[in-house]
Amino acid sequence: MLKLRQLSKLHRSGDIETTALDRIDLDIEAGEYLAVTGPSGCGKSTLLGILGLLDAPTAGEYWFDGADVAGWNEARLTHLRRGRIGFVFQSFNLIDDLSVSENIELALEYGDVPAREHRARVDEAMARLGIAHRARHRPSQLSGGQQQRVAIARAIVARPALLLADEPTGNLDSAHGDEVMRILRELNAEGTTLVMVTHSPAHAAQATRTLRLLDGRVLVDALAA
Amino acid sequence: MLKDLRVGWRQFIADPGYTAVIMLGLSVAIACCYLVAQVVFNEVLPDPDVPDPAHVVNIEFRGNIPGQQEDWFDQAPFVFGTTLRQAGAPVSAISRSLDGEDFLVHAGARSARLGLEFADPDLIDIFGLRASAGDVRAALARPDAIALTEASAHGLFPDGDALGKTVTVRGRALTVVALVAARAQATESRHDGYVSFDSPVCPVDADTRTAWYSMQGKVFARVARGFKPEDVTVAAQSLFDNGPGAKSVPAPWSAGGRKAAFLRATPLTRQYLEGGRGGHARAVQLLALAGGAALMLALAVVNYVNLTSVRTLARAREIAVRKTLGASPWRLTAQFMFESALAAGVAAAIGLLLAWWLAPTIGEMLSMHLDNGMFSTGRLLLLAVGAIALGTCTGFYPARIALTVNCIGALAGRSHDEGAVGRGLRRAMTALQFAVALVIAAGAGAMLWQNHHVDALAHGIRTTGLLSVNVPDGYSGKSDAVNLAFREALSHEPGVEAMAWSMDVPGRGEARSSTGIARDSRGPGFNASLVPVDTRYFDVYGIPLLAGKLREPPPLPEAPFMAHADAADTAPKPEALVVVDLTASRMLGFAGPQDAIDKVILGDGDFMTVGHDPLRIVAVVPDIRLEDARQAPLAHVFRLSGRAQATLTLKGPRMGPLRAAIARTWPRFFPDDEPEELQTVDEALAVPYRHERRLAQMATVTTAISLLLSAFGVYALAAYTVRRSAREIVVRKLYGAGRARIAGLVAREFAPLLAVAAVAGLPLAGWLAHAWIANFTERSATAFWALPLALVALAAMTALAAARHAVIAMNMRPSQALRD
Repeated sequence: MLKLRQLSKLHRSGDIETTALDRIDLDIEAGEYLAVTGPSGCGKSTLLGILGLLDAPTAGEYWFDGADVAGWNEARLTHLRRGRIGFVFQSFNLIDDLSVSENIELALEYGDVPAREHRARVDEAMARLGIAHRARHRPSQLSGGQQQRVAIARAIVARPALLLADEPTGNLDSAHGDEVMRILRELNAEGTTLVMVTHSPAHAAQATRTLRLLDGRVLVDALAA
Repeated sequence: MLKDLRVGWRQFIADPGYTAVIMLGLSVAIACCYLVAQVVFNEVLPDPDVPDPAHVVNIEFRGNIPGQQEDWFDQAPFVFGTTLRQAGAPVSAISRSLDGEDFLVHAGARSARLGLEFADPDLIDIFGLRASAGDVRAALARPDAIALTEASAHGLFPDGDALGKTVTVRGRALTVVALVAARAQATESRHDGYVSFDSPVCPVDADTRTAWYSMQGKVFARVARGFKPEDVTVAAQSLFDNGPGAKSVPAPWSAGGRKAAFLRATPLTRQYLEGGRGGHARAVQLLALAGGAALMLALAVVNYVNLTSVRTLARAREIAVRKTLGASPWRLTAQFMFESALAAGVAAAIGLLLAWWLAPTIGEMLSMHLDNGMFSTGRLLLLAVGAIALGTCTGFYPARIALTVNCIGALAGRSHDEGAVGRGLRRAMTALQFAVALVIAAGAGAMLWQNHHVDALAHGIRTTGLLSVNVPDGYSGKSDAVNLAFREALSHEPGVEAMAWSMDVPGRGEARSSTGIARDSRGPGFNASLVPVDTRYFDVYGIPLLAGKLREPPPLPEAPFMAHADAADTAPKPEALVVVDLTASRMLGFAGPQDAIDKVILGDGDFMTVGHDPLRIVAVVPDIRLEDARQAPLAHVFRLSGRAQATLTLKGPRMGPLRAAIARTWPRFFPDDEPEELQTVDEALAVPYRHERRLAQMATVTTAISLLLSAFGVYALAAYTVRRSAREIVVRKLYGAGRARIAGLVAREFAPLLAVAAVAGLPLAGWLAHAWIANFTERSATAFWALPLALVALAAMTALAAARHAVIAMNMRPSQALRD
């Protein structure tokens, strides 16, 4: 599904050049559950941003569903991203001015799903994540765990093939964190490709494959025991 | 789109402070612009009920006296109304028109003060007057008839049909033969009733109807099909040049082919801004109003864009989420433009209500009708389109910022920086805001300063304890006996210490007369102001005599003020007694005041020429200023007269008893007229400056609002600056920076912008101040101090607005740097 070949990403600030990713080769199959680990600054979030078509590599190839998207502009990447990729963030990134149901529906607004289907999809996602009773609440009125469940509902309402999670349990206590991990496992079991960045060895161990990065390079790429 | 509007609406509610600031600025600015549009629709554009107004003309007159620069009069001698068509001018209709005076109209026990227009039947074709009942043409053709507007008729006859009923005007019975339908907007014809020009009620005497130089009203005409207004101009000019008017002037006036006067036919469509008697001043006033509204709008828009762009930066995370979820650049841009359109729409609605509320007050200040048609469909549509356009344009910059948000950084919680270009643009907008506020404040300050200087002008006369009243027919002399009897009756009233007749209240400028004066027949002559007064005048107005004694003039058969001389009459007149001021005495060649006493000079000449009438000087008085501050001071000659004049001035310790005395006495002598507004002399002296005072008042209010908007803008920008520089501030404090140095960081943000604003704004403000003061001959030498004072006020306002966040910055704890 996803192929990275000699992919590099450099950050430039004035005369300073920083290598965030250094000639990464990576294949991710459909339905895989990949955990990405490594120390701070090793390039995990950068890798996730490139996989999610939020950023373009400086060099190398990135094949997404058979198309080399490495040289695409932002407009093309945006169009490709719609409905195909879901995101879950550590800080939830919900919009405070919108209610829970409106936050979830936002993922359908820019896509190709007909408007008449929005309501049903949103209701289905809320029911799946157990937050239907909070549909009219604002994010600021929810607990951290509930907010993350809203974020996951938003990530899956368009039924994407790929789900990218950047430290989804980072701001949660262990109970809520376990709950979120359970949901992610279920989604993966249903066929969604899941790439998750995590600092937690325990959560990384729940994946079927672990990728360890160091200084922008792949240190270890191993299947789970 | 609806969702974007919903998000925008929630943003407004979530941050009421921000919403209040932008709504205040935008709504006030939109209200100002709407009122200016009302001026254009109601005053500048002709009445929409007038058919083809481009072919309706007003005949205008301008004298061409040698050595003088006369302005156009928006009036013409009535004789043109009866001779122009006969002379072959291309007009299909022509009408004389006299208005401007209110008449007391009695209908049985009821009475009302109505503005009547005296006109010819062709007025109907010219202005498209429609009858809702009866025959308007008959009203203007019959000397014993009147046509009333529906509102006036209802006021006089609330119970039933006014048609056929009788009303009394100045003791004459008139029959109501028509009711005139209401008009959409009345500019040229704001009247309550219409009467034939030949009615006995019409105050125009027979001489004035045929005079070639007397102007008391207007002559309107409709240009014949196939012709242009310029053709009527040519015809009117030719009629005058070949008529008795041109032949009756002194020889120097027409020497070498000079024209004695000019005529022109001004279409209604150009009357307001180009017409005589104030067209230029009205154009300047409209320009000033439009300029002020445009500045206010610029200020409000800059403020809005500045504040909204700061908010957009704070919404970086939301924008990144939307981008992540697939929002295209166009979609994001549309969202911000819809939000801005919503803000502009709400501000337009508030602005409309504000304009409606302010219209009567501002209309009264400007002597305009501003509330007519305020809620008409066309104007509301214009407002809506304007608001949408405004919102769309102001949404571009925040949308641009949104498009540059970096998704990854924003999603990770890093704040978005607008970059050097964005910061530069923001600084430029703030500097522009400062410059606009500075121009407005400095301009208003200069106006107020000059007005104060004019108010403090010494006239050389007593101005307190005096009340003036205008008597009917005071200029024509038709009611002399009645007027004198009125004065005699007033003299017995309690509280009335003394009274004096004069042509006008000194300094009010509503009536003027000048004459050529010379020491003897050899000349040279000079122009002096000639004021007919009685002997009590000098005591009432506290003017001391430097030399000589007053004495009552012999009963001479002098002509009333408005009577025009017969050009063929050159018989010598008997001596009149005069008092001259010091300037006149010097210009006549007398070494001192005493030298002028009992000398006979010659007066009543044309401009700068020797007159023929003998004037014996009986007294000399100090120089007094009867002219307003826009005119150069003249030499003054006071002709002592035993006749009644137009203005009677009462002197007394308190105004109340004087007003009561007039109220008691007036009805006995003038039952068909009500006294015009009584004025104290102080009030009368303020009359020539009412226009400037109104503009200064409006400029002061505009200044206050612009400074307030700037203050809000500075407050928000200071907050943004401190937030953006928080890390820098705490690190500096960590390494020992004191409070003053931290405050200097905030000051560094605004001080250069103030300097740029001063460089850009002060020259413009100086030019505007100079243009204002140049209208006056009496000019304040210190008015330009308003410019640096305005800059100081702006700097003080900026410091105050930024103070809170400067204090926050000063109180930040260095330990905060250790957390991140």
